[in-house]
Amino acid sequence: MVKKIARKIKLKKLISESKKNSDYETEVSKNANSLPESIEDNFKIIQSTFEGSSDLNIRRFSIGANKKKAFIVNIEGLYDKRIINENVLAPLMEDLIEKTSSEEIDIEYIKSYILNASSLAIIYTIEKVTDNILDGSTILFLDGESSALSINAKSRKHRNIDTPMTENKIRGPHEGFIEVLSTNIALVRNIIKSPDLKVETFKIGRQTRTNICLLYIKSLAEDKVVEEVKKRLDSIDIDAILESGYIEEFIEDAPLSPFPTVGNTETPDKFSAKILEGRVGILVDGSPMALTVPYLFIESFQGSEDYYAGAIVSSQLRLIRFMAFHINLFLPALYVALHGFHPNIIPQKLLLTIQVTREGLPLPVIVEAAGMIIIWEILREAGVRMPRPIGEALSIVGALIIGQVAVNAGLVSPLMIIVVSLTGIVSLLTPPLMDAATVLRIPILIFASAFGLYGVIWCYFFMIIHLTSIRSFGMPYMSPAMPFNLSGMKDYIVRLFWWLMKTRPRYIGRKELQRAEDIRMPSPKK
Amino acid sequence: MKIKLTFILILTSVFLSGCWDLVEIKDRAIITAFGIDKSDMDGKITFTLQTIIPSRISTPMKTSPEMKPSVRVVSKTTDSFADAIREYAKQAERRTYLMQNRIIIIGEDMAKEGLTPAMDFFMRHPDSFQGAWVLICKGKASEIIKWNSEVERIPADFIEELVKTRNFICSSSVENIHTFVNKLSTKPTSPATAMIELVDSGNNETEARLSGIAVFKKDKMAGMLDNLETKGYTWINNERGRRLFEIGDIGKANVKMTHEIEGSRTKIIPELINGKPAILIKVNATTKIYVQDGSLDLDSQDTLKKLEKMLEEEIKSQIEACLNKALKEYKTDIFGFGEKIHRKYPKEWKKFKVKWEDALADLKVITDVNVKTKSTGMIIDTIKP
Repeated sequence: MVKKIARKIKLKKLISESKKNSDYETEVSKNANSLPESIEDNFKIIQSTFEGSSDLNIRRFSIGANKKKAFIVNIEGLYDKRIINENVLAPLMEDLIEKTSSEEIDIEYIKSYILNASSLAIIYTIEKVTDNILDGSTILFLDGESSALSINAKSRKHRNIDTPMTENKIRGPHEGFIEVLSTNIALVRNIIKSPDLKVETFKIGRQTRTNICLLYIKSLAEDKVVEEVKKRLDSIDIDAILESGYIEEFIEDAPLSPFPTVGNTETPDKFSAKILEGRVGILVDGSPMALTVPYLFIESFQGSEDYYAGAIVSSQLRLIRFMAFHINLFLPALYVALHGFHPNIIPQKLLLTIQVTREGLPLPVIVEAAGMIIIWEILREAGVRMPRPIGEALSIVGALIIGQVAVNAGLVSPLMIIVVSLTGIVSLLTPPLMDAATVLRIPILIFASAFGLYGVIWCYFFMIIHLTSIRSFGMPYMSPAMPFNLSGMKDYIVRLFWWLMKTRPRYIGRKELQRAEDIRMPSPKK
Repeated sequence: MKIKLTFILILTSVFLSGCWDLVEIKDRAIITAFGIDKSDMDGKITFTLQTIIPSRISTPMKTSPEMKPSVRVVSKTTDSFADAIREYAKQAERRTYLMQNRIIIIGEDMAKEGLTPAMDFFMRHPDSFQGAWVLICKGKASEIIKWNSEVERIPADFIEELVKTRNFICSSSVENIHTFVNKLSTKPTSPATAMIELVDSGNNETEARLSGIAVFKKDKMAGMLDNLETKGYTWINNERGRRLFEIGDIGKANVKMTHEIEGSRTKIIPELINGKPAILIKVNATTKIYVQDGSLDLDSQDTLKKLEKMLEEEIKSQIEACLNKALKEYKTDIFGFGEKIHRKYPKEWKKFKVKWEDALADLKVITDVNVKTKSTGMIIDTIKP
């Protein structure tokens, strides 16, 4: 039923998208006008396009002895003033003044001999001109030319490279992506120094015209996946892309599922590692969160530090994360189910402890559990959003009032506090699944309170069925467990030593599986 | 259509089978011990239920200083088993909960009358715990259930510990409901379980302890085994515990030895001798010397052999005492001999089963005991001052 609805929505979306796309293309081709030769016409076009934009900066001047008319246009604040003044305006206005023969002066000549800025391009259409101006480039128009020179001297204000806010680690590189696309690509390039790393740029968003980069290693990434990602990116039609989350929502395989099918990361090292396994990465201008596809269930349990710290301790930590995920989803539900329906399987001494703590409590256990979970979510949300100075007050309220006083006042049983806070804490062990757990916990709890363990088991079955039925960019979401792949198990529940993982995960890409020629267990001579 | 149908079917299996018997723990009265007595009034039965009062249970968070009993004991006299819990519920503010009940104590009078209705109740009740221990008590069951232990807040816990420790020292043999009913419903076999009694331990204090074994003939109690016979029963019943054996008079004067049985294994092998059934009881045991009160030379193999021989005789006499009492006096097959023969010789069994109980007295039982001394403990010879 849900599937059917989803399919219908998808179909409708596809139809409307294709309609919009065709509209958009015809519009573009109609407007794809080449630039007029006369400088006055060009000036008028620019002025009319940017009418009402007070930050547009047009500087008119003349070149050479016979005063050839020219102007540069750019947007205040987006261009580098020093470069434009010293390396563009100065040579044009000063060096060319002695030049008598004005015939020699044309765009090609200026590009080749006069300007010493590094990034120049000749452009021919009005659309390109507007695009480049909005991107921060400076455009030079010359009288009698049906082309313009785009000088890429952008100066973008941005924060410095910093430790990522979301992914902390003890061992490993501490730098994180920032909001600037070019810096982010450079950070990845710094790690993967291979010409095989391809970077393809898209522009998405009718208003924002956001730059989006596709990164992949040609010899490792599956062609089909790359094509599929490109196709999905091309089909996005939206007015604005403000964060990579917009892209994520448009290219997801299972948009109605609480489980993520697109991965995100803030660290270049993790991003590079995913690309090196044959995945495709997506960087979005203005967002420090990079996306990786295909994204499998197991990736939620793999921390980047797993691969930097020892294999043995990492494997143990991974087991704990698996346990944590189950506790996260099922602990409150199990508590309620055992409490209400199956006290027989609780050891007698424990049952007595529970009974003692619940003596005289006013609320039924399900209300208490649901209430405490909601309070936990409120506290968590408040902790994220609160302005720093209030933090202390909030933690006092959270820890003292809810924890201590509620128990003393006889509103909540201390065991329930333990159950809910444990659930909250373990959700931090698998951050990608935090949203899924938050969404699913309450329905599972309700099932548990209505049907007991039977309901909990039903929920588990439905979850497994759902997980095995979804895919991410053609890859079964539960692989390598389902369908089973033995070599994939090397990096599943446990993480084996690097010298045992001779091949890349087969289920992501089948091109060039061998990581290196000769990986061996270290055996130093004695 | 097909998807819709499967979806509906799955949903119905969720909702139709539901378990709507949600009861909060705080609304349950947990029964810890269940006593059944024959009432003084004609044909009536007295039930005694011990339930926990949670507010009197002390936890690390809350300790109550005065030693008030944490249980409530209620006795009710009713016509039948059906009314037992219902009658109790009339005056209780909570739903009774039988699933955590570990102890069932049945009065001797009741046991002699027959346990079929009682066992039917415990087997049929959905909340009843099949692992609950069945104990027969000398006198009234209600008195043991009312008795307050100084050691445990919950008296039933004390009794449960008693039952558990007998596993360790092998002083008795207790059946739970499941095995008890199993033996009861197997044709030639009859159940037997431990007896409990209150003993005056001086200083106006009483003490509960397991003593002897109640022997049943089908569902009616036939009699009981004394201490020596009980020991024999634990051997035949293959109870593996650490028994202590004291042997005096080893040929030398003033020497007393105590052995501890480390491990034992009893096999009951049915045989046909001249077309007549016979039973071979094979006991293999390993021992360790526990205490030596004297100065025997434990280095020599001869001494150890001699000691082993004496132990074997001792065990044999215990087993035989038990066999005599059960087979000859009570004429009941509490050891499951008949079942063993049935399994090995199904054809011949048809002949024997008609008069099995009468044949028990003449049943030929051969006992073969084999004892091996594994160690002499941490030292070999005794300390010489």
